[in-house]
Amino acid sequence: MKHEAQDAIDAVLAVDRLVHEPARLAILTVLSGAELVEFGFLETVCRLSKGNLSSHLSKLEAAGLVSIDKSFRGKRPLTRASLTDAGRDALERYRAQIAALIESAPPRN
Amino acid sequence: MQTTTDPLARLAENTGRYARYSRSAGGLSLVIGGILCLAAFTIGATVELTPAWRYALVAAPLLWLASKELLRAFYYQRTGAVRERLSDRQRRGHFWMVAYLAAMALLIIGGVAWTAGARAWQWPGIAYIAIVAAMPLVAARWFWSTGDFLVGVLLVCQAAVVIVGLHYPWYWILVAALYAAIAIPTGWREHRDYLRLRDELGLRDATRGKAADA
Repeated sequence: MKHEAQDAIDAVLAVDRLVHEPARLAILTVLSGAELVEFGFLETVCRLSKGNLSSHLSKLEAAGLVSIDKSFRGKRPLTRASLTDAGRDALERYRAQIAALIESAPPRN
Repeated sequence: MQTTTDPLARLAENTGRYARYSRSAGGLSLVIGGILCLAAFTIGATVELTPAWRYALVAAPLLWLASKELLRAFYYQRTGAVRERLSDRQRRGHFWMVAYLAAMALLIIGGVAWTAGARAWQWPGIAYIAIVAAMPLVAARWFWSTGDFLVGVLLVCQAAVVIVGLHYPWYWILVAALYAAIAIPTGWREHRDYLRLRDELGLRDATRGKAADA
């Protein structure tokens, strides 16, 4: 019994915290559905402010999970993000871990 | 059992559906393409082609491509461009489609150069060759679905034939009608799917909000 509890805690602690944060999880999930995503779409669908989205994208880029391409369309800055292979692996791993955790949880009465 | 990963899977799937409008889903542009295709072949075979009609028919594929780009940028993906992630099957299909068109274009240009000799490199022969040579390049950039392929190839072929003063015989109207019968319902279905997706992703409210901000 003690072992099971210990294993469950270990499984929770093993979850990638960079991916686990809700806003970043939403960003990664959106990116997983496409090859390249413009900032405006991420902002709208993830319901994040520009600053918040920018900060999360920087963290994901620093960890190598996301690749950012900055350019200009006319005079307007254009930011596009895509998921790297490492990012895709991290998201898959995270989803598998969460699914396993939920499966192992005791059923509610 | 529903898990917390289900809404995430749905979010990724909806993003994928939105991304289709960057490449493989034309929506209303496919409807426009189907109508243009049928109209172009009907006009080409039944109307006496004055220079104005000829230039209009030559412009038809350009008009269609412009409608594709405008609808993508200002309607289907106005919230922000999202490029579709293609499966290996889609990539292979696209590659072989472009390769087939490139081979056909080479054959046609070779045949014209062989039979027409120096005339092939004078107006309007050179325009015909230019349109045929452009076809695989246009396909590589814009033809990502069967509907695009059917409509696009017919419109470009019609433009090439019309520019040298010829036209397709009347029975090609039946082929154009068949392709239009495939393209128009497909495009309309894609458009209806977009309207549903727009509500699911909350894009309608977002664009209204942006318009209000402006």
